[in-house]
Amino acid sequence: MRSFHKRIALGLLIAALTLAGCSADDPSAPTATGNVFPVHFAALGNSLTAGFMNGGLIEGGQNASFARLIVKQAGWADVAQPTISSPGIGPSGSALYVDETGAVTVDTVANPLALLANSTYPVPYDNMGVPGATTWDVLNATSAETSQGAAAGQPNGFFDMILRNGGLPPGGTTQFDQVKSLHPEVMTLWIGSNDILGGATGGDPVVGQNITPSATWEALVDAVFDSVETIGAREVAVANIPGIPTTPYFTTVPLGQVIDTMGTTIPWETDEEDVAYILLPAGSILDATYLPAPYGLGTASLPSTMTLTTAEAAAVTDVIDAYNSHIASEAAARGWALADMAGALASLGTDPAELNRLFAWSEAGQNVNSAFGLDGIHPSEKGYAKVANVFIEALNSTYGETIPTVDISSVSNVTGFEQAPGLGFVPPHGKRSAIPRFTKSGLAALDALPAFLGTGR
Amino acid sequence: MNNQRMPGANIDSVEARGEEREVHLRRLRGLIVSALLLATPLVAMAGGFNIYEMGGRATALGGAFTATADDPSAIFYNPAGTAFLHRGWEVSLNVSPTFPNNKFARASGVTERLYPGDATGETKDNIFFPSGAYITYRRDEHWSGGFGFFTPFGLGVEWQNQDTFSGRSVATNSQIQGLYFSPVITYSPEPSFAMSVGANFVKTSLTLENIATQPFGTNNDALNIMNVKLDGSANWAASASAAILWKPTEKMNFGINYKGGVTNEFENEGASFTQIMTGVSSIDDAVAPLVAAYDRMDVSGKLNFPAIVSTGARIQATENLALMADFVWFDWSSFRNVNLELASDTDTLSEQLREDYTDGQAWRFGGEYQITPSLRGMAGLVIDNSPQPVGSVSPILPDADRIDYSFGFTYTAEHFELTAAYMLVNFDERSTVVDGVGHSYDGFDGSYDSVAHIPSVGATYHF
Repeated sequence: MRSFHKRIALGLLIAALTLAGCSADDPSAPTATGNVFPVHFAALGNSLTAGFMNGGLIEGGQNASFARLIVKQAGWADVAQPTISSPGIGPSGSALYVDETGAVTVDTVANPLALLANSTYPVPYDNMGVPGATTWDVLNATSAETSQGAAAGQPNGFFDMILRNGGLPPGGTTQFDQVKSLHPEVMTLWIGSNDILGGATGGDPVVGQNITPSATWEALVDAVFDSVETIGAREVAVANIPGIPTTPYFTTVPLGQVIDTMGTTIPWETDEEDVAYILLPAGSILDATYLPAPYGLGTASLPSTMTLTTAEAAAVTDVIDAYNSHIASEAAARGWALADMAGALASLGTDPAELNRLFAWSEAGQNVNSAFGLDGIHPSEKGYAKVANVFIEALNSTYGETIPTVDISSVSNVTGFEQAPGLGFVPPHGKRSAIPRFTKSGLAALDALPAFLGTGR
Repeated sequence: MNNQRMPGANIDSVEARGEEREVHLRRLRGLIVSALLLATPLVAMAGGFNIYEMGGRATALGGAFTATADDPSAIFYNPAGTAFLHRGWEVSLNVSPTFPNNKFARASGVTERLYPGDATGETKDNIFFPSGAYITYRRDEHWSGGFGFFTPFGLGVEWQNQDTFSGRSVATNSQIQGLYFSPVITYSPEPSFAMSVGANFVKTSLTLENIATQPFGTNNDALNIMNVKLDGSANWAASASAAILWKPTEKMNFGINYKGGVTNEFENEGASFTQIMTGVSSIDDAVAPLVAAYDRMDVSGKLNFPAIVSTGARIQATENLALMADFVWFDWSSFRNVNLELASDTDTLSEQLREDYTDGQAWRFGGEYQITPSLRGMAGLVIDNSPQPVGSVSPILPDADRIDYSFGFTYTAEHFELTAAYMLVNFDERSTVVDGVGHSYDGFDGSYDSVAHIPSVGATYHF
């Protein structure tokens, strides 16, 4: 009997020792479409994504970028941006200043690349908005020389600056490559404006010449969409193209001069017939010479580059509508959130005096309540807050996020042009002094904008 | 998680650039700190890895020992049991070598991109030695007491292939050890009843390691940029304990055992950072000054061990067969947040981590059969519910519901008693993915399966 027990004991001991060598079963890998705690956000796009403001890229404006606002509202990890130090980078790599009279001047920046404060940031920027980027550029441009603009003699230097292929191995990467390498969980895509904008701001839009036809563009953007799908972000919000002729760049300068208390308006002399919009730069040159006699001298006439005819504006709008129709159907097909920027812009209304609508341009230079910055194309701080809200609402409704929107009334427009160097301009009121005085005469400085905004078109 | 500022729009060239550099540093610092903080829940989960195998006989019985407590390991399981031991001294040494094995399978989908590296992982074949050493003295029919040393909280999770393990930025090695020194005194007003009070003096040490990584390149790679190690020893902590053992009839025992929770306070313990050269100069150049600046950072924080309440019953079913059932409750719900403060030169990086543990419960059942006058056979079954919410299941400590099976033999001689036991701890497979959506607080989703083998021995001598 005892030996029987011993045998049992021995057997159990051996069993125990054998078992002790066993490891856990291999768990089976589940499939996760995402995580309820998103950790990383990235934005792919152009100047509208970069936080371009007041005709330039500078830290003050970049801090108001919608990408930064979204992560702040959502409580996600902050976004790294290519921070541009003072005096910022404006048209053609120059800086925009306001002088002591309030006039805006352009000054040369010797080495714009040196203004990139965080050039040694070791990985790509989460805000991958490159001012001037076209839809083609997203998958193809790896430098200024390979940007779409280079072919037209206008290489886009922002690619060298933001992609940093010289210092970010393995080099030779595109905007898309860099975003993909960041593995974002949530991302935005907003591209296409620069395929149209240059034609419109140049005053003579011709589809197929300086505007990408919608059929061509759809193929370009579908390639971008397909590529973005390979990033595998859990949530993608794609924005459509806001109206262009309805921005203050086109609506600020009136079509004529009011000559009596009855409101009788005499149109400016123009080379083109049936003018619907006069472009913003014209505001600084219009004077009595452009008014026909007997109201003025009638000796000058606005060139076609300064005006949009009804037909030209309609052509631009038709292309935008076609793009947007395609974006809407692709977003739906891919299950992405659609951020309706066109609708948001239209909802701002058309009354120039209306809050948040227009380039609230006055002799005092105040721009406090406008949704647009001083260049008439890009949003102001308030405008970018509105843009962020459109993205947030799209993410919330499509993906069930509960991100609170930005309280736009609490956002102030404080970024403007800097004072010209050497003026001894003493800011009297701290940060508020960053609002420059801004007068009509200064608008001449924005002449360089069309070429810049429509890089390579 | 990182503390980036939102600078005002005021533009000043010199200041703006200086601040930008600062932002850059803070961002990377935030990364490191995040990595460190992510490692913290591990500590928390030590409770999920509570160790109840503090005596050989109790282990053989599945830990259902609260109403039995008939050897000096009673100081852990029920100090009132000292009233029923031999007159005079008893000494008992117990060790339960633990062979844990954890396996991980990363979720496919978004997790792959967030956490590049090996799709599966397995822990190293480490052995841990939870131990209990006890000495008791029974003076007379009324007074008894004793002193115990045991390790009821702690274990370790160290992953293989740390350079490529996909969870390396969360944790590569996590160790915790809580040493309890516990004097007790027991009073027995009548032969069937005893009550005991005592104290626990606790010394806890912990090590948390991970590897900070940076996403890099277009092929879903992440480069290892630095080793982060948190190494510390807490201040002494103390709590009270109390217990009752009641034997209303010859065939029936009831016991209750309470051990107070303790808060282990770590003050100015060290976090160290060691750069890993990637060969990519832009990254190496950015990391080097950070490593130099934070060569050793003071870390302070608190880690709670929960209170334990066990209640048990023992019934002598037949002449030779006794059956036991215990219910053990852990005050894990007190474990909601972990506060961790990292001292740095300029800013406070204090964090409060959400834990949201629920109370933990275990049902423990045991049976004991007198085979011969000197030999007893024992077996046990444990149903142990994890207190850990799915969000904090991680490579630091992947807890899950478990079922334990145990058996063992006790041989009794005139002054000696020897016990050999074995326990199999079988974890349920547990995934952080629920209905296709990951719930890991770290975004590191996947499934875990774990097992532990615990051969246990105990030797008791009375004189």
